[in-house]
Amino acid sequence: LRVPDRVEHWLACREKRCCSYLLVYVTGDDVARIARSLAVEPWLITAPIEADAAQPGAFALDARGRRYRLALVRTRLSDDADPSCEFLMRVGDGAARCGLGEGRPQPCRSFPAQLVDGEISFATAECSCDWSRVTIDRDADTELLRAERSARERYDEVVDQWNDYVATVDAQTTLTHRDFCRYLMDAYPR
Amino acid sequence: MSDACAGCTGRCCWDVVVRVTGLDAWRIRRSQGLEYAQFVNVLPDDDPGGESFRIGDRLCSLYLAKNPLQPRACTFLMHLPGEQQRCGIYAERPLVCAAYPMQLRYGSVDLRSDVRCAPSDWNLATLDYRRWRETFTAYAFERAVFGRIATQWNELAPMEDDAASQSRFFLYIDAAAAAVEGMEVLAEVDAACAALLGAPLP
Repeated sequence: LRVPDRVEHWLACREKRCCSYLLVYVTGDDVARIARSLAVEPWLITAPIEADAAQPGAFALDARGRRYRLALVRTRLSDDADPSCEFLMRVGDGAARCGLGEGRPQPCRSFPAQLVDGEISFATAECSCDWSRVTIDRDADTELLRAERSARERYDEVVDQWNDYVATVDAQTTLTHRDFCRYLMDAYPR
Repeated sequence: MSDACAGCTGRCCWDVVVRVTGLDAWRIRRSQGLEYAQFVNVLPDDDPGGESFRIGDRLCSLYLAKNPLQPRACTFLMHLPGEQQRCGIYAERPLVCAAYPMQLRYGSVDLRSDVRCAPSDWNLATLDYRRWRETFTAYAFERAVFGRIATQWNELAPMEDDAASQSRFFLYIDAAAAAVEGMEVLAEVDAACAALLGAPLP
C-alpha cells in the first residue's frame, strides 16, 4: 500500500489546524456515504451555512430567496478551543486524527491541493505544517481534483432540482435542513 | 455496520479493555499515521496465552488505550451529536471489535452471553451468518499468525530492560507485519520472523 507523500504528511500532522479553520462544504455524495458508513442520520453531522444565492450548490428552504450550503458540523473540543470538525479526534498524547479515515469528504482527501488553470499547487497559508518539502504527485492529484469537481457538478444539478421544487411550495411553508438531507439520501441511493 | 449497531451508544467501547494483536496495531498505525505508544499500552498478562510476548522478564499483551478525558472510553471512540458514538477507525478496527458481540459456540455463530447491547437488538434470524463466519475465520487465523510472531520473538529476542525491549518489539512488529502480509502458511511466518530477528531490525 503506497500512501502519497501529501497524505502521509497530513496524517503525521499532530495539530490538524485545517480541521478548525476550514469549513468543510460537502456534496450529497459525501453526506450519503458518511451517513451510511456510520449509520448516523445526515442532519446530525451536517449544518446549513448561509450562502450567497448565486453560489453553486446553495440550496433554498423556502421561496423567500435565502440560500444555504451544507457543511460538516463543528464542535469545540474544550471550552477555550476554536470550533473544529466534529470528526476530529485526539488520541492520548493530544495528537489530532480524523475519525472518518478513508471515508472523509472529498475536499479533505485532496487537501491542500488545488487545481488552478490546469496546474496543481498547495494552498497552505493558514496551515501550521511545512509543506515545502512535500512532493506533489501531479497526475494523482489532478485526477482526484477532477473527480471532486465532477461530483460537485453533479451535486449542483441535484440541488438545482431541489430548488426548483422549493420554488413551487407556498410562501408560508419553510422546509428544514432535515428535509434537504432526506432528499439527498434519496437522490444518492446506496 | 449492522442494523443493530445503528442505534448503538457505544457501550462495548466503554469499560472493556480491548486486547489487540500486533497486526491490528500495525494496521491502525499505518492508516492513522500514529506511533504505537500513542494508542496502545503494553501491559503484563494476568493469564498469558499463545499470543503473549516477552517484555523484560514478563509476558505481556497489547491493549487499546483509553481517552484521557474520558478514561472509560476507547481512545478512538467518536462522540457525535444526538448521543451517538461511533468508532473513529471503523475500517481498520481490531478484528476482536469486528467480531463483537458474536462468538462461535459449538461451531456456530451465536450472540455472546456478556453483550453490553440489549440482546433484543440482535435478531439471529436476520444475521448475515456468512459475513460473521468470515470475520471469525480471519480473526482466528490472524491470532494464529500473531502467536507465531510472538513465539519467535520470545525465543530469539535479546533480554533487555522494559523500555529497550518495548522499543525493539515495536520495530519488530512493523517489520514482521509487513513481511508476513498475505502469507497463508504458518511455517513461512516462522521462517520470516526468525530471519528478521537474526538480523538488525530496520
